[in-house]
Amino acid sequence: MFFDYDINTTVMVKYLPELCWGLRNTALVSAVGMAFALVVAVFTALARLSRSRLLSKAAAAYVESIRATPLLVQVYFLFFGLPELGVLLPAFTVGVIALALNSGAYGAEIIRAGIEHIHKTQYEAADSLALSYAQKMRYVILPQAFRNIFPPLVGQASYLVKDSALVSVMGVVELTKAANTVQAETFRPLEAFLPAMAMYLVLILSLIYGASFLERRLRRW
Amino acid sequence: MPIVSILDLHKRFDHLEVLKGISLEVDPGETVVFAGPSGSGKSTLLRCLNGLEKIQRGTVIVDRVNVHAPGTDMLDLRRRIGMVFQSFNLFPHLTVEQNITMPLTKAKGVSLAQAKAAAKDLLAKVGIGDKLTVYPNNLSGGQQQRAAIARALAMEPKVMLFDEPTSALDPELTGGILQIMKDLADSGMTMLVVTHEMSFARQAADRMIFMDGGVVVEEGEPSALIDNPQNERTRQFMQQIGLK
Repeated sequence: MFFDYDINTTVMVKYLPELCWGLRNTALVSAVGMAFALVVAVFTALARLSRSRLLSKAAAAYVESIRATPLLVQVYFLFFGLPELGVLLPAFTVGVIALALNSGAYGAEIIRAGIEHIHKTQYEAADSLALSYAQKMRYVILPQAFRNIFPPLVGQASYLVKDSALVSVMGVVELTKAANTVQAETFRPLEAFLPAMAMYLVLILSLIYGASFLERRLRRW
Repeated sequence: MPIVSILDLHKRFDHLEVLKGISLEVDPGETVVFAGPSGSGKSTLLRCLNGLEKIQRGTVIVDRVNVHAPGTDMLDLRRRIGMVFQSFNLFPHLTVEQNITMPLTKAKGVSLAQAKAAAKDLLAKVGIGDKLTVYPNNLSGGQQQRAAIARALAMEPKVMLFDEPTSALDPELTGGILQIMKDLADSGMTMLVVTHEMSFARQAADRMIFMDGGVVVEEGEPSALIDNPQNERTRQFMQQIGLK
């Protein structure tokens, strides 16, 4: 029975532009989300490791509340909650915020582990050379930490791309939303979701392999 | 006027008191060697001078700055104190040249062109002028320590601290490092050196301080202290390292 299903390639081809548009938006919301997630993650990791108890506790509270709640709930929370607070933002922006806050929390834990792995003699060398805290982190500790944690960070980035499917619930026409629209119009779910899955696969594999290629090319020490 | 003054310095790690009231002075241009068994507090003493360690009691003054007073500008102080570590502590992600230019441009605000010129000049002086673009992990221990000395000197410090600079090196590599240090001492640099190299103490040091159990046991002219120690503990120590 299943194998009798006749894939309608005409439908697939016809709706390909819609899916490509969705793919573009998935890539866009992911890329912008990643950029912000990285910033959030770095500062959260530094806050967690800070000597200030208040800063460290606040960062821990943020990380735990993200990690212990579903992303879908976080998306709803921002989507319906922000307007209540008088903050009206386009759905795309809310999606970026949700992904950045979510991935930022996971990324912070990865970066924290990377920083903690750097031997204290590196801090002492930096201190003895009169580097300020910011210079020490920026030029000595973080570059070394990032090399050690590159693979898990890329892993986290690929989660972010997959998680971006959830911003479809806010009406952002990314790949998942586009595919869903196609199947609603055509009543042909396989023709809609099969190409969508292939597109996710290609997107994420290019991210992973592209990153590891770059890492090998850039590795000099 | 002394450039380093230490008065009644006490340092504790939890319940272990490692420095039990050290007082000493070092004049500008002087080279002082600190010797003593491991755990005697020599390295800790050096690390108190540039604030890598906090202290519990006493006063440390370096170049007229009260190191452990609240509100001391540590960055300003550290720009005037160079430090060389036992394990070199170069930055592995930077080339030898960048190890020098990064701190010089960031911490001292020197222009990159000037910093590069300084790096080239100093690396040639310490004998690794051909290693500018090499990463530290591709250097021998001796070469790494040369680079680390150049890095510290590039900041043009008034005082240099050497914390067992040859202890991690193969015996055949120590001579080169000690020669660089001797030349530096001869050039008038103020140096505080923790080392077990008695030949260096004899040839390059103006004074030797023997420490044990967190106190200064004996001090004096290096050869006198090595050949004719007055204190029993100093005598034992000299015998032990003499036997090696």
